[in-house]
Amino acid sequence: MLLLGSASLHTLSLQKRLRVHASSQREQGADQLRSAAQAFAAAARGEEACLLKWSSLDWPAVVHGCSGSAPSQLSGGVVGEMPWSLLDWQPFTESGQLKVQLADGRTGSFRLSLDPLAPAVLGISEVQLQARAPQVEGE
Amino acid sequence: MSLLEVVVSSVVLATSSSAALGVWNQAATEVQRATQLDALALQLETARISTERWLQSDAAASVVIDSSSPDCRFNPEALEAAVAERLPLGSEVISRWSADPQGLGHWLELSAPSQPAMPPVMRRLLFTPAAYGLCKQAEVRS
Repeated sequence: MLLLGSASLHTLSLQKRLRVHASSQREQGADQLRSAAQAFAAAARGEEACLLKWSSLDWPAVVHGCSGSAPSQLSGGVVGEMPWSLLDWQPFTESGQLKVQLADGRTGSFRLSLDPLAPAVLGISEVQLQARAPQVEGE
Repeated sequence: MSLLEVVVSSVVLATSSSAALGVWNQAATEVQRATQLDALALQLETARISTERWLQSDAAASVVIDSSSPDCRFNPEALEAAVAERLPLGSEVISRWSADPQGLGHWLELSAPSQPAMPPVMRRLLFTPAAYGLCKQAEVRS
């Protein structure tokens, strides 16, 4: 009985350690997504700021209206050796919904506060983690 | 009960008790390690949130931007000093800022001193001035 009880306690302790490890992995993934969102905000300046007014689906069509802008600057990049790509950008009146994906398939969305007077990011919300998508082809 | 049975049952009881105590000790150590890791992870998360909140505040805008740079960059010394001075980092948290090689912003590395038989606890995040509207405020001031 004593041995069985100890074994149960050991199993519980291992479960706790695994939970801590999983939590650490999740936080590190969230940090990479947060970093990708920061990189998006850094890229959405200058000529590219104009694109913030439009949905990313419309960028190929509106690129002439945003002279000098390069949608590719906002469509992805590399942060801390981790490639990321833009899945979706949807602007609203004073905010926008950003959805990014890391090369390993982890996906997160953010709400970005936007300046109502000029296209510029004012803040980024906490990341909303989403189910891991299939790995991006070619990565 | 014969003497032989008493001896055998005593040996079995002693062996199983000893094994159980060993497993019990190991489990207690594991629980202690996991609790320590949890506490350290919480300290790093608190430090991350505090840094983010502070960068969102108006107080940050006038301090952390390098006014001599036309590209809207953090002033690394001011950033490091301000965060170290104003934020309640846990006593075991070590923070280190480094410039992003692509010039996007600065990386904040939060870690706790490594301890024997425990995996390193570390967080690493990119912070850019543009994400907090600091570039726009810098343009207005200049």
